[in-house]
Amino acid sequence: MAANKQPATSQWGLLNGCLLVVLVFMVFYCSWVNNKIVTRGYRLNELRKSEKHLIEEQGKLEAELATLKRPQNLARLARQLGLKEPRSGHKIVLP
Amino acid sequence: MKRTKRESKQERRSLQNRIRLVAGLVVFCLLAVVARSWFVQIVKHDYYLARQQQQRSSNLLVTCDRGEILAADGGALAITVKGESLFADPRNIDDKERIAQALAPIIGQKVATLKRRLSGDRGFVWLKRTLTPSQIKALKPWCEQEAGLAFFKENQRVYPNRELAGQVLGFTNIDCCGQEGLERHYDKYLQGRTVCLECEYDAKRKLVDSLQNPELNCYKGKTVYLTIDRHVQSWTEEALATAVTKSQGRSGVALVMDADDGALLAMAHYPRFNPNSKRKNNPSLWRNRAAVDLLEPGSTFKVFTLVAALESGLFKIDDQIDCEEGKYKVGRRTIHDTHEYGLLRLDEILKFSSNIGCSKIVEQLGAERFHAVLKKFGFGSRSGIDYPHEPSGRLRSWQKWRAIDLCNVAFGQGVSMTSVQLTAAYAALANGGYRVTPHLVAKIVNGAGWTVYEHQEDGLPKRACSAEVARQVDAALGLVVEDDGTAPKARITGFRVAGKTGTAQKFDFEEKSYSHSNYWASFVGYVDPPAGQSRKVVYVMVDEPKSSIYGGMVAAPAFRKINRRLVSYFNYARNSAVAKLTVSLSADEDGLVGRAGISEGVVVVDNADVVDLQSSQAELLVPDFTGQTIREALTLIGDYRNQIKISGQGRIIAQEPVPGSRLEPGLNFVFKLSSEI
Repeated sequence: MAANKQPATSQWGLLNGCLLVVLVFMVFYCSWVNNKIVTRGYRLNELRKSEKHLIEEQGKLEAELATLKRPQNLARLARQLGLKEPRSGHKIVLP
Repeated sequence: MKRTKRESKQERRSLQNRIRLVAGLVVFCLLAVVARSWFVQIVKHDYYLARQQQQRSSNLLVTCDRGEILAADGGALAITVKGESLFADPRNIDDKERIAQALAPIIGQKVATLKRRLSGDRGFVWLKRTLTPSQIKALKPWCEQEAGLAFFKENQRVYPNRELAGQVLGFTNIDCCGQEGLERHYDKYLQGRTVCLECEYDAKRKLVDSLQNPELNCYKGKTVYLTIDRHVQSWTEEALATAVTKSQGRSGVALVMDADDGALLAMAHYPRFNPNSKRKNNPSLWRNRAAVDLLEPGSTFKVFTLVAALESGLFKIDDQIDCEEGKYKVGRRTIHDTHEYGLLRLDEILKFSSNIGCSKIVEQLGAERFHAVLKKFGFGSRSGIDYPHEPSGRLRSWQKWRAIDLCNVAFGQGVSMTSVQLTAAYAALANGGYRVTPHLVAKIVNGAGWTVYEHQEDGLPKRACSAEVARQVDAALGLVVEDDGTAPKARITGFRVAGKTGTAQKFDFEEKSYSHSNYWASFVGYVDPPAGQSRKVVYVMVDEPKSSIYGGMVAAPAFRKINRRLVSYFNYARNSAVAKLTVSLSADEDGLVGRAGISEGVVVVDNADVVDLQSSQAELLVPDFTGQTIREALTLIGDYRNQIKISGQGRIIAQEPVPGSRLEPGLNFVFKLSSEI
């Protein structure tokens, strides 16, 4: 009988040991996940800020582009490059 | 052995007890956690949810971006960008004197003003709104060093084309609310909606969630698409600036309007105004004079006298009126013409701009009938343009007209209207007699891409005059640009031009009479487009020109300049009969003709905006005018004629030089006409 009881005790010990390991693992896992969530959260926030900044930059660049592409500016640059206003005779549209 | 057995048994028991104790503790703890969780998550769920939301989130009022204003060609005319402004928390600034002295030169303010602002005990004061990039760069180190200084991002309205259509667009105030022009008129569409946004905060109450919520686009101000074309606007402004500066005028206005639907393609003013720096400009420049200033049209109004005459059925276009050799007495007043004319046909009255001819027409026509026709064209009322503060034109009741008043109105005095109203009336003539509503906005689109407004004429088209009368008046307007008309400078070779000059005396309110030194010189007309395209009515007015006072001398060249660009831009076809080329590749030194892929020989270039003899070394041939009227032939020949001899009546049956001979400037033409064709 005594020989039969010994394995039961060791099984209990093993079970408890496993539970402890799982518990410790769970604690570490939860901490790790929580840490990741916080880290990713900050990263996400940074990226959102960056996105917002880039959208604002894009708006400013579009405004600058529109200023550079305004007809008077293009005409001035064309004249600087030696281009001339086309007279009616400079354009031939064939049928 | 026995003792060992007992001992080991006790040890096992003790171990088992300890394990049970630990297991019991673990289970108890787990049960406690479960119980607490149940209590928190289920029993007190609402309470803790409310607390969590109160701590982590808060409502923030966000005003979404103002909508854009775009030109007909898609170019941006007014957009909103994020700008930086500088603010201070004076409670956190120790050395206010030093900060004021350091910042004053950077932001362009007085040291005393800055010191006054920083001396208060408020937690927030603006130091400078909407900083320039160079100012931001200079201020950045200060904001990093000083706890009480910081930037604040806010919307800033930008007009990328600077002066282009400045008076039309108007401007907003610093908080992006429309103050003038279209920005004001369409403010309710352009203004972004203020929405309440739930935002997330961290433990230090810093904003975590970005406000770049995609749903916010739906609340953004709507995009307004104008009928203004940036290129047409640019040329019109350029031509107007040249006309005003050359004539040493005070100011000027020019319009380009689509005759079929009243869409304004250009609305130019000189001097120009840059809405980006409105404070640097004189406020009088902000006004859109084309839409809000009333002026007397002068001779450009005579065309409506002619319309009234023809509409009444009492006159025909070839009826003759005695113009009394330049002097005509009405009551105690004498009406003068610039030249002495005898008998003139109705179309010649328009061609030579005879005041006496117009006066005699309306005398026979009667005030009531004349007034009714003018009302049909919309004179004396608002045109309905989508622009704020449009005045009604001034057209007094016909019962109040004395004999001299009736004659004055016949040649454009004693009646007033805005430039837009006059151009819209000409548009009615140009489109065959239908009234149009001038407008600047084609459509308005919301953030989701839905069109929420599109310009459409109300109800059925209203007739201002019959199509036949419009056709006859159109033919008469074509005579004005002939050599002996009042505006040969408006003519464009290869195209049929119709229009009317105006030289209107300004009323001197000090002298209480018409001025003999200050005039409005104007020209309004159009070029015939190819079939299927609408006419574009072009109006040019120069205020108080000095070098010459006549519309034909001051405004007509600008009209010509604008239209030369327009015919190219809208691909108007030069008359095909002129566009016959003999191409000699040996003479094509520039290789222009060869590069265009045209082979040697005679080429008929139909629908072409063609022919530059100097650059292409190509030759123009005299066309075959057989079967055409003399007027058609003269239009085709354009500048190439020198002397013309005409015999007979009707259409051309023979000509010299013969068809196919070389067409050179200064040729003498002989035409034989016959009515039998």
